[in-house]
Amino acid sequence: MIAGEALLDTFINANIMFLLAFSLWFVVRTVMQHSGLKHAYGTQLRLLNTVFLVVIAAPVIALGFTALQSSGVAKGVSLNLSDMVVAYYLNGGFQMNAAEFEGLVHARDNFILNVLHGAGFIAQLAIAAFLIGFFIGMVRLIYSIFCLFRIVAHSYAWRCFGRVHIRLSDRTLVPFSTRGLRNYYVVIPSHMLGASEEMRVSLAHEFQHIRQGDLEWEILLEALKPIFFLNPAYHAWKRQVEDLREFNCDSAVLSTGRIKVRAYCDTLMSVCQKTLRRDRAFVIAVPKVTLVTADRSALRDGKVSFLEHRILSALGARRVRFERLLFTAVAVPLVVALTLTTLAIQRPGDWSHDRLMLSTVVNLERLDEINRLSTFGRVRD
Amino acid sequence: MKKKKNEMLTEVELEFMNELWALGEGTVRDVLEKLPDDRNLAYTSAATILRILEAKEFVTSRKSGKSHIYTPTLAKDVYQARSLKDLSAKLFDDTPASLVAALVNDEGISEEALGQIRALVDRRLKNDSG
Repeated sequence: MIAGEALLDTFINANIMFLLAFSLWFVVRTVMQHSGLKHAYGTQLRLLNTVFLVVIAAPVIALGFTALQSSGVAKGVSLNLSDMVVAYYLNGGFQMNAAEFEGLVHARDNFILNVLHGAGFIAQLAIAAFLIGFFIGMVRLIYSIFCLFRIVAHSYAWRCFGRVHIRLSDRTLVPFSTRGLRNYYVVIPSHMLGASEEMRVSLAHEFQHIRQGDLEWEILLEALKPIFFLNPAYHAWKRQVEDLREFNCDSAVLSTGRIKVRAYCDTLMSVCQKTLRRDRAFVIAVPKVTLVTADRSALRDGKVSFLEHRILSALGARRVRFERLLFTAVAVPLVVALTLTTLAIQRPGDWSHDRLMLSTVVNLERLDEINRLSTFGRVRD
Repeated sequence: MKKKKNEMLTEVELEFMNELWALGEGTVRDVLEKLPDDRNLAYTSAATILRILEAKEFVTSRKSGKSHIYTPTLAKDVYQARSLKDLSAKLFDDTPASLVAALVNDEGISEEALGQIRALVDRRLKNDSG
């Protein structure tokens, strides 16, 4: 049960971290966009991936800090948010009934225990929603991997450079890349053999995805999706990574100067047009990284589509100088802030002095209430 | 290239098969020469398309000197029939009558073509009853 409690606690922390990290990222992105760094897609993508790593590594960070404190380093330092709030309350920072405040402080512990024991309607609802969603998510993921495997298995080997295998397929209209345990697979629609410019653009684009490590990130994000499906921040996060990696890929391919912007944009539009016409079944196949994703909802809602954003971005693309410096300057405070947040949202390990005080206040208030009631009883008698 | 049986041809594969059906058999260069000048297809791309056709078992190849000679294994009319059956199944709810109706109702079709269709149907009916 203790292992289950720790696991559930870690899961809740990870969800809180995703929400906080995405909010923080949103602020950073807005600042970057308004300070002339809109086109620093590479930096933005690396920042987003770094933040993701910090969120994933949060349990290790918390364990490390606890280990440090138990070995005598920074022993007196308390970064726990709950402890800070209790101390603030005891110092008269805000007025609230002590019993109610204690209930609020223990709400998370109570929720964890309720979920573990399946006690109460809310806990049962949370368990049911998670299990159903997790099951659907896993089935979807396994089916998608199976579909992808079938497309790759039925494609024709064309070229091979080291671990990168280029294959031709007549089962897809969109070029995409994926990977196995060892090898990378770039799958190109066989009709592109007759369109050399489209082929050149597609290969350059997919190779850039492999170089950027986008496949590994996509696999990680897809694998974690069935666990964090209830968290809107996770979906927004994934969408953001998908957008940024395409912008960055477009910008990196065009910056080499080997492919003309016109040819690049023409290929994007041509592939998208073909997808909208026919390749509906392909939309579900993940985890993979495609040249373009047909955004039908934009057509329906009359919004500016992602493809339009990409083309506009490709037309106005300019590489940002000092990308590494910019990344370090933004990443360091972001990582520090998230590390501190990670430590702040942990459940307190033991009873601190302030918690004992709060418990005493609650008990005294209860005794006072009991005495008051019995006094009333005597008076009435 | 591993053998993979696939019933239907893509657009570019059909273009190559049409040339091979017309030639009877031919090398990569023979097929390339038959293609329109503006096609601008690389030799390696054409060779890959023919290798895919071989993997799909639409053609066979034999080595002659330094090049391969490709021969269709499937007659054009057999593929036409297969293609029509596929079209009928996918687009006309597996009812060939709907397919013919769509063809006959097409305003672009000439009277001469309609006459030929009628003659074909009459001949088929006569053969079946006879």
